[in-house]
Amino acid sequence: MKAKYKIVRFLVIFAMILSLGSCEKDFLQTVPTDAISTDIVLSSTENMMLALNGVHRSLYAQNGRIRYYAGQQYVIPLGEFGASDALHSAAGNGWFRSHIQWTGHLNATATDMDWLWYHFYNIIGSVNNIINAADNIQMSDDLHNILGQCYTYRAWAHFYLVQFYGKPYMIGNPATDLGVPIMTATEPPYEGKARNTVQQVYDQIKEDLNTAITHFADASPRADLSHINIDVARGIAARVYLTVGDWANAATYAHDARQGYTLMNESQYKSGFNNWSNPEWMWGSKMIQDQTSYYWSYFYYCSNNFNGSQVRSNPKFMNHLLYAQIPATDYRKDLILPNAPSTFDDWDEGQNAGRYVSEAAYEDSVALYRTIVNNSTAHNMVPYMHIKLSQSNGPTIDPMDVIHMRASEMYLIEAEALARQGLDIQAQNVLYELVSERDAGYVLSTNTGQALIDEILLQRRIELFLEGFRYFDMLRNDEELDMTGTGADPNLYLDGMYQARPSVNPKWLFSIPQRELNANPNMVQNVY
Amino acid sequence: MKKTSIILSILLLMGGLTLFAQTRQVSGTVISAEDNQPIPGVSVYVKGTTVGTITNINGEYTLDVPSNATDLVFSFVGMKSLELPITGPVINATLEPDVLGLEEVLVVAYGRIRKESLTGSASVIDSKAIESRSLSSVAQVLTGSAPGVVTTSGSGQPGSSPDIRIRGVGTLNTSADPLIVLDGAEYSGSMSSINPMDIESITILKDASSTALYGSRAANGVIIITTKKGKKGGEFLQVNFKAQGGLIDHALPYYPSVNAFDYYELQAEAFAQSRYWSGADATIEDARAYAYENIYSQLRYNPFVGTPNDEIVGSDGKINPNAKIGFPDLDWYEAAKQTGYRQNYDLSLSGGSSKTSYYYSLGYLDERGYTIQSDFERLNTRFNIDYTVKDWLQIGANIYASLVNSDIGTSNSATYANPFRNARMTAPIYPVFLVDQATGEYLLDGAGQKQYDDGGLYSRPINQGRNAIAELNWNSDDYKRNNMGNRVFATFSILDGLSATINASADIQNYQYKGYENPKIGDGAPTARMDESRYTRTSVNFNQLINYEKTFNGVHNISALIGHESYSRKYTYQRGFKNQFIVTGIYELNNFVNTSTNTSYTTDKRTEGYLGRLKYNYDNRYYVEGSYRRDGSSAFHEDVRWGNFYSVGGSWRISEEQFMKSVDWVNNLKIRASYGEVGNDNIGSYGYQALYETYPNATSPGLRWSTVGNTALTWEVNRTFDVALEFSLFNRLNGSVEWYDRRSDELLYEMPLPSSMGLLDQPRNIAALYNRGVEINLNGDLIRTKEFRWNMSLMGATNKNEITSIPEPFVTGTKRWSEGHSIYDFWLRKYYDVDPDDGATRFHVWEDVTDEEGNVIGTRLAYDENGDPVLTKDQNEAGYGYVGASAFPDLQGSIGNSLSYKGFTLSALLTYSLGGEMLDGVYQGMLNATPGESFHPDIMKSWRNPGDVTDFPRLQYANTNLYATSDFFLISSDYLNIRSVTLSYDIPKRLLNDWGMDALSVFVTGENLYMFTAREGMNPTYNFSGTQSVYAYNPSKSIIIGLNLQF
Repeated sequence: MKAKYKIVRFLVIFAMILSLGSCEKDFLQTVPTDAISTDIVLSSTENMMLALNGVHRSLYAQNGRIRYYAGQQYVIPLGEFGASDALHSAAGNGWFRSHIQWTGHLNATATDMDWLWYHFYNIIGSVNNIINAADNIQMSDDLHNILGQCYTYRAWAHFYLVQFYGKPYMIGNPATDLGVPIMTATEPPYEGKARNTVQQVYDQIKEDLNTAITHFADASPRADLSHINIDVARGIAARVYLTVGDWANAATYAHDARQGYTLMNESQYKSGFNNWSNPEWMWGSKMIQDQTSYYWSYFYYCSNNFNGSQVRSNPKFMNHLLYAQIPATDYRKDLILPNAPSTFDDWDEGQNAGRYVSEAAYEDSVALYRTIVNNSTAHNMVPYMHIKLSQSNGPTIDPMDVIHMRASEMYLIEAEALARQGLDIQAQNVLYELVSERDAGYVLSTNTGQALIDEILLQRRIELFLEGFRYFDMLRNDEELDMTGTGADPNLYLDGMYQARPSVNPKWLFSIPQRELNANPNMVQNVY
Repeated sequence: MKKTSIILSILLLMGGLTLFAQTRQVSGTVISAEDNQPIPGVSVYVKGTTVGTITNINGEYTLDVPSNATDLVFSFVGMKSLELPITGPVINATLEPDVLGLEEVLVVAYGRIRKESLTGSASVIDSKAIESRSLSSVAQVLTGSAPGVVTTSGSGQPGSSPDIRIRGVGTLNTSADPLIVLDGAEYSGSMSSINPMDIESITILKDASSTALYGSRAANGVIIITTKKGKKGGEFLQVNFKAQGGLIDHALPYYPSVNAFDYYELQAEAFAQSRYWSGADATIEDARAYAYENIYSQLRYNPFVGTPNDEIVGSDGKINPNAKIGFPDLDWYEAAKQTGYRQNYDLSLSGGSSKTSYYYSLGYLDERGYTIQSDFERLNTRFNIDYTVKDWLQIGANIYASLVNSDIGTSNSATYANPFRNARMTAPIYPVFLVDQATGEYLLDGAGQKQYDDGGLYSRPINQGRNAIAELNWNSDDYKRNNMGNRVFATFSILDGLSATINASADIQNYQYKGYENPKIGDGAPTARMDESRYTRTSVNFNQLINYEKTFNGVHNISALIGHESYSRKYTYQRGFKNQFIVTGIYELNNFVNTSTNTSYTTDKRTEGYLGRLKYNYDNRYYVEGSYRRDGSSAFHEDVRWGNFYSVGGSWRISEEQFMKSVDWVNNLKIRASYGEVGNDNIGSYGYQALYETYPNATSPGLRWSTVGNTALTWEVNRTFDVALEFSLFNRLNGSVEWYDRRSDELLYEMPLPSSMGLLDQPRNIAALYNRGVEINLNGDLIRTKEFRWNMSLMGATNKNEITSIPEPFVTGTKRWSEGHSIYDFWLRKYYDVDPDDGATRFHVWEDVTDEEGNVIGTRLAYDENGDPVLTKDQNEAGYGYVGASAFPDLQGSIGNSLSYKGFTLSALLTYSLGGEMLDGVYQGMLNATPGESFHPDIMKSWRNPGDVTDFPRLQYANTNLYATSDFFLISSDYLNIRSVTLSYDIPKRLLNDWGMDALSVFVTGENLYMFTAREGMNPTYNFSGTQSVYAYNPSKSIIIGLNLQF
């Protein structure tokens, strides 16, 4: 009997010792394997660079938080579809249809509108974390580099926001017009701020750009083209000053920004705008295969040979009226195909009527254009379709690099800003530098005054077609939207066929997303 | 913490102090009073001790009893237990049937008790109720099983499990699922991995008194699943075999949609209005003239073969009288249909000897859904063994494994490949296969085969480049899920009434998903792609328990429990995603060239707790009970990691009082009440930590700002008060009436931040709410004769949910959370009418209500100075407000009937819901006018001309104001569901004995046979929050026949 109870005792004690295993103090202290604590990230220059690399990635990566919108790859089309130059040929599978019909950006509960706002504020919050933690860190070339980039990002993001949501600076009353909240920190109680005025937002943007440029003066060089350097900061400053009508600054910053970058030549211009190893690119994102954005790619919405249903079902074409203004000697004209067949119509009907002698001739034309566009037999084609943006290796879904800034834009800003100051000769010369590269027949402009400005603005539309500028240019120049004669289908475009100019038509402003209105008691919606 | 263990050890060591007394042998036979047949498996034990055995196949037992023993207790499921004095070496017993179920033994938290001694609220579903149903997931048996327990319908995807809510919704977080405890340890696997035939009982614990010992995990209630065991005692062996099979189809009808003729007329009108309102035509007459002639340009398909494209709709707006449909395959539901079936075989062996019992089972289920590429196959096995090593040591193990293999091509999330979304939205003019529009003949490919129409050739305005049927057939989406687990325990009897138990368990779930997308149609085109993900979830649970039970002076019954428990759940995930296939037909990542994703991570969630329970009852009349648990969770910062949870409960069995003995029509009368606090830490694993996640920029390393964390984040607390009256009357009616008040505080929520903050949410403890309600349960034999019995049960439960405090009200989808409202109160635009002049929808404007300080505190409907409603046609100006509707029903419950005559039993279960409302987004989508998308027949009532008075606005493309989400789309969610009907026949025993069998029954059973709802096609049980999904796999119904054999 005694022996038995010894066994019991032994077993029980043994079990209790086993149980002590779970009583270790750190049993309940667990950490994730795919993330690290914010404190560690913001405690050293090296780690801050990692956090900044995350911001660079957010310019093109699927965010995964509000669906899978992929950064500027969705913002660039928003700057085109709904404006006058890059047009949809068919209802397609629906992407951006509501934007060309002018209901998308007015729908506060639309997911893409939710995302657009978040996209820029996420970048602002991310760089604010770094800016606000940098006080505790020893200054160095690398930290100057990081801070220069962070302040530039903050300015750049606020600039996009105030353009989308606030009344354009030059046509409104910026001192009283509502812009967007200026965010310089994300901290408890996370309540949400009220909208600052358009003037206040631009003041902050300019101040941040000045700070950034000061930091860049002492900064280490950038790692690659996805990073921002002083040229990019100046380029953004040029955009900002052009938008607020400070022509002198716009011209100076644009001039300084483009130094060291050579313009693309014809073959580079015709290579699809898909690779950052191009001498003109000032700022871009490299896409690699395992960071692909699939069907959220900019080339899915905008190119004509990405192999996705949006592209196959809805080829994008150029405003016919704009095309007519491109001189025959201009190689940019080669990127638009006015004689492409319409695969939406029978060989002798619709847009094909009167163009082909026989169905066989039509089929020959289709075959020919398939090789020009480098698309698949499942892709539709329409007259005036473009081949400016294209997949480098034919009808694939491969990720293509994303462009954020290139030198030609700087020439155009400089020329316009000079012309608007009445410095016609200088403006003509800058314009000549750019356009003579594009158009063998171009001679130095003899236009002056408004005619010169108009010439520069036309060059801007031709040069920057489908690169995400048109909507903002229409805003700042107070242009009306009239699609008559452009080739746009009124049955598809509906309300997008005509809109009065921005100064008299509040519908040009995007709606603040309902998500923000719901969570931020200080937020107010735009009034339409 | 060490201190506690030392105390536990000392308590255990006290066991070493006693010696056992002398024994003597008693034997006998137990028979049933119903048929005088011997009853095998009756438990026979010495009163007040754990010394016992069970009867063998002939109803005989032999037991060594201590010499000082006075009484023997005989108990058996379904029989009233019997106490007999030990008057000699032979004690025979005759047991009476327990028709009222008073003596049920329940599995409760960390133990078993008799129902009569329960001070908390628990419902039991026994093996009989489970076995009589034919289900692929045992979770479905919970529907209508207990008052206060509600479930969704579940998806029709074979093997899917419904969501379960117990007593309303006491949390704001997405998951308010109850804790599942399988054989004593938390189970995080899928309910559908468990073989229903292995289940002995399911206990649903509803109040704090019964759940408090689970402390931090119990806030949403607890479901305890106990699997079958063999029986110890004499030699005993039983073989059970069950085979069943039958057909499966959709349970709910589909939403009706207009036919091709009406569709063309309606689209022509929509096209005309669109042109008129966008200014393309000056007058509606011009617009109509144009639209009638050109509507084909919008729809692109002319199914009326022989009718010219510009003559489909005549100048009168009517369909061409000569039009006849010449296209085949216009029904996309039909194209996705297959014959659904289920076959299911179960074999079990159970047995025992004097010291050992065991149970072994093998089960196979094969179910094919009624929609292509949906099926579920499950192989189960389980082995339970229980071994008495010594009179002071008992060891047992319980091992199971299940292999699941399922096709989920129709999963709810897939967009274009989802056959339900596709069929709901596609107008009846688009064929599945490519046809020549001029002839209606199929356009065959080079091999003479029909080709799927991806909409490209004729520029179909919807789903271009896609074809759900092709994608279903050519893609593959399937998962394999293997579950393995082990429960092992050792119980040491230390001295009379004192025992210690060590339990250890491990559950491992391995999951492998494979998704292949074809290179021809869909997102996989043109290179095809392959997605493979795997995870392993390992849950390890240890507990050490010390139990003490003692009766003093024959009337003071005490029982005590103390213990310690630790739990850890590790989840390791890996995913690879590649495109560009090398050769066709190989569905492995190796066969693809380009890597798009290759990722992995691990999460680790742990809890630890110390627990104690003390119970006392005086003479089985007055019961009191208290529980306490201290829990720590890895989900919270160390400063706030530990929480204290407790409960107290008491009951008074009035019927046991001396003064009630004379009232012989009262069999049982009991009042019970309890109060307690339990917790919830269900907010992810690392929510309190501020983190950056890995996020490389091309080939440069990078990190992304991920969470802001919240070090103050702590336990969500649930405080429940519960009072009930239980009764059994006239020996044929029993029931209970129960009232509960369940208050939840410090509610955990991923609080939406203003997105201008740069992140979308932060986990917080934000609010308090209560769920309050009455539950009534009545069960009785309406007729009971020797041969015929009609039993009926009625269940009903109310629940009122209300938020009592929330610092800032906020909007979440179609609901707004603010004080004084339930979490499911709809917050919507207010539809007013359709303007007869222009056919535009008018909304009654909600205006802000502000407090003295000018803060907006809510909204009210606006009226002008004349008292007329302020109206708008602009959805952005309409505002939002409480429209006085809630997704919570007033009353939900079930009605069960069971009729038995001789060997026949017919049982039927109906479930019902009254008084709730839902927002029908599928219907809304079918009213919106988009070229190519289907129309609900209600659209025929649309406004057309000035002066028309109707509730349905004009038809017009891309005008989001007309059918903007508003209370117009609210509809009653009342339903009556014929949940299950079973007819079974037990072959008489006298026949079976000749065949060498113990029991044989045959049955036919139907599940989810019909549901009466307010609108054809909608599903009021899709979820709890009262919305619909266009992607939802319509729930299934089944009709199954089978047989059950025992020998």
